[in-house]
Amino acid sequence: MIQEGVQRFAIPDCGPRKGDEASREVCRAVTQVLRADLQFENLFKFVPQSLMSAIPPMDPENPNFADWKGIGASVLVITRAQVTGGEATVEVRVHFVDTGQSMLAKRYSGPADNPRVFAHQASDDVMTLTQYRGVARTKIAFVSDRDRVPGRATKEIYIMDYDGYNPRRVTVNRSLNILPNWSPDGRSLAYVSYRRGNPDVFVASIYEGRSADLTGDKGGAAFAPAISPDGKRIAYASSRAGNMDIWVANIDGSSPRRLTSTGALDTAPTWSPTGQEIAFTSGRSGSPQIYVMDTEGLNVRRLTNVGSWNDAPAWNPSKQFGEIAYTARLENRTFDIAVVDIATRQVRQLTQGRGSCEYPSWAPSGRHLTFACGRGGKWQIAVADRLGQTITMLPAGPGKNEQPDWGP
Amino acid sequence: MIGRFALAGVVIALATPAWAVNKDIERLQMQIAALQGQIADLQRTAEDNQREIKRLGDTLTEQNAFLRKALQDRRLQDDALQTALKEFGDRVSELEERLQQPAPAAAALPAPAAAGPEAGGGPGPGLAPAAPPSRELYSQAYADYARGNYDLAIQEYREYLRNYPSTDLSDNAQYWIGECYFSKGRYDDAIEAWNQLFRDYPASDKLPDARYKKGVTLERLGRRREALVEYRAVVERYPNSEAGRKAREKLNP
Amino acid sequence: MIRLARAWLFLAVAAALAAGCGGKKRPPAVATAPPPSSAPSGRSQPTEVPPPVETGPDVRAVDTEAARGEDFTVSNPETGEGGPLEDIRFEYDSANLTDHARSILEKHALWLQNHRPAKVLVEGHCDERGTVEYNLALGEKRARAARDYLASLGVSTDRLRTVSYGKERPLDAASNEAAWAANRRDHFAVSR
Repeated sequence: MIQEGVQRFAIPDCGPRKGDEASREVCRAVTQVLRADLQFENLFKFVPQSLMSAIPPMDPENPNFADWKGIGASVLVITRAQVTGGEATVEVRVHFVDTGQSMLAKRYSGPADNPRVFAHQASDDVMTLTQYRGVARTKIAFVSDRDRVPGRATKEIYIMDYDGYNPRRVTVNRSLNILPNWSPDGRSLAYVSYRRGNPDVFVASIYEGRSADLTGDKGGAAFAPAISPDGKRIAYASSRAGNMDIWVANIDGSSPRRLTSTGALDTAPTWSPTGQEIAFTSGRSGSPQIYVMDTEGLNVRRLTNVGSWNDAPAWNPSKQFGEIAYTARLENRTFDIAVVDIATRQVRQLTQGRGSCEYPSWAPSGRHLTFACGRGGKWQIAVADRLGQTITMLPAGPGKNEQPDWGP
Repeated sequence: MIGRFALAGVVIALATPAWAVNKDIERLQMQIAALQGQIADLQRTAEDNQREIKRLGDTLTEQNAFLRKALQDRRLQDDALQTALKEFGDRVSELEERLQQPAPAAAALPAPAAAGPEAGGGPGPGLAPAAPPSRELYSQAYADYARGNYDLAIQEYREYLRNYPSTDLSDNAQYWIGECYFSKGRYDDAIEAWNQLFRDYPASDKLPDARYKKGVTLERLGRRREALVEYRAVVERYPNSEAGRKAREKLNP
Repeated sequence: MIRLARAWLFLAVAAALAAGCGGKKRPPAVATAPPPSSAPSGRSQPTEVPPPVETGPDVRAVDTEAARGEDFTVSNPETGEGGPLEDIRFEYDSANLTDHARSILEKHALWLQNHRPAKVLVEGHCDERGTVEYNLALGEKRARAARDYLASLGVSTDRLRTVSYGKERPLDAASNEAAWAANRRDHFAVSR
């Protein structure tokens, strides 16, 4: 198993060799994206480009490992690509520099026009050598007004690759569609749509192009859907009983049960990784704070004690970490992302000075999270490692982009 | 390190359960060996850390024994074995993590609380395990519950109750033991844990929730008539609680 | 062990998830796993069955039917603002009706008495501070506050509906006190 920060990767550019420009272009793209993917994983060190350029051109079949050892590399990743008639074949090989041993050697083929796919797959394959699941092929759902119809304030749901590329639109109803939430199998998205005038929770099967209304015809507003880790249940906030409460239903909307009934605003449910508990926001103490309860709505405990406004909890889906990210208003007036340890209740602040940041959502591995930051109506989506050491704004495209939800 | 890397690759290529198990054991044994080495180092260099290390070491030995027993038990299904191994692995990596930063961890530890009953009078440093601080033990138990390590959490809540039978968290710890059994699907044990809460902590603020949950648990066991008795008791005794409202819904669906 | 580690594994990847939305479909990628003729001898025996091919079906648009609820409003389609009934304003993080808001609602009640059978959709809105979820709940509470007061003045609840837009449809997208004050409102969309 690779320990964090031990291996030093060298991922050199594709060497000059015979081959057409299309092949070289694909190889360049794969190398570049693979580098970015593995760097994002935040587990390895990397040999700087400037040092790698000092290595003489190598034969990819027989690399001179002594050269690479000389510049401090411990793992060498060699990529090659061949494009034939719009079809690309990409090879990725991973060697230990010390022994020359081959750790991984894979060949991928598919359409040549999106080489990022090869790199993401290769990155996840390299990650199988660690104890962690790779993040490169995960998707982020988000909300944008980029396709707003002139004269109407509409928002639609989109999904994109974890690195912000390849955005695709999911809803096409020219209404207000917000608060997406992935199912654990990555095949469905729960979201809130106003297409019937009132906010209701829908679940869309995004590969089949179907969507089902879970909460319509029941009266009141329903929003903030959260699908349970086993995919069988869905929690949401609903005012159908008069006050805004947390409800849980089966994933098809049947057997809805009300869990909270304090008369305060209860909203934003999120499931614990075991599915045994739900964290949520409640105004029952006078200001929004984060609470935890069991799935009967009992054994309720207040989790946050610091700050006047703590909202929108997102439970880290990895059992390893035991923490909840949320939106906190600290001393000043802006909102920032913070994380609280569920057992010790210690808080760490992740963002600062980026305007307001809100709506945190964890990657399935729990090692990264996404959220939206903005000021003055201009919002964009950010991704960060779980300690907030590196925060990257994604190139998510035009419009106001917000409410990201990190999916499988 | 290289060896581990290679090993990991091979296992993924094979991906057969037997190999995976053997591999896990191998890996765990390597980790245990590494841990033991680290423990020895720490003992040499840091007198102050001895107590904490001993506690961790004890836990590790305990887990080790548990693993050995699990391995010997031929009747265990593969699944159960893998779960046990996984829990064990989680535990080891956690201990490893803690041991990797011994100094700050020890520095952060408050002075040992009043020694538990087992420690007797005047325990010499490192001789008898001192009771871990109350808050820390309670937090650790909840952390293990949230992780799905229910057996470990039960053990830790019990340890809490042994050392701190009458703090304002003691009744909560007893409640949580019921919750752990409930989450494991061991409903009879859950009911027994809550019955003990009713007996030992008759003034606990957890009573409404525990009594309602006992009703839910009885229902799961198919004992609906007994469940209704519990719901009625909740409605009568705690009419204004959240549990009271839910019990009313149960009685008048 | 080492032999296996060195062995070539072949994985054919179907290109997942084509760019573009809706109609644009990419032909399914063909999965192939030929042994590499160029691979160095001694390493080229494919000893493993390739892992299952990952299929990447295109994402399909959902909810393509036109929104129905939008037709309910007859006011300014851009913001949903305008119309015969004046907005009421709220304090920060509050759904309590101010005296001024009550006096406006009393005028609205009178107008509604004189304009049967006009119906009103009460829209609760919030300023941008606070989270999406919390503001949706707050907007709902604001809309219900006005609805309940109108009902107490004799307006039939059949003619009153509520909806919360939270902070999703601000009147003024700026981040200053004036914009926030304008955005903390109930709007009354009238249909006849």
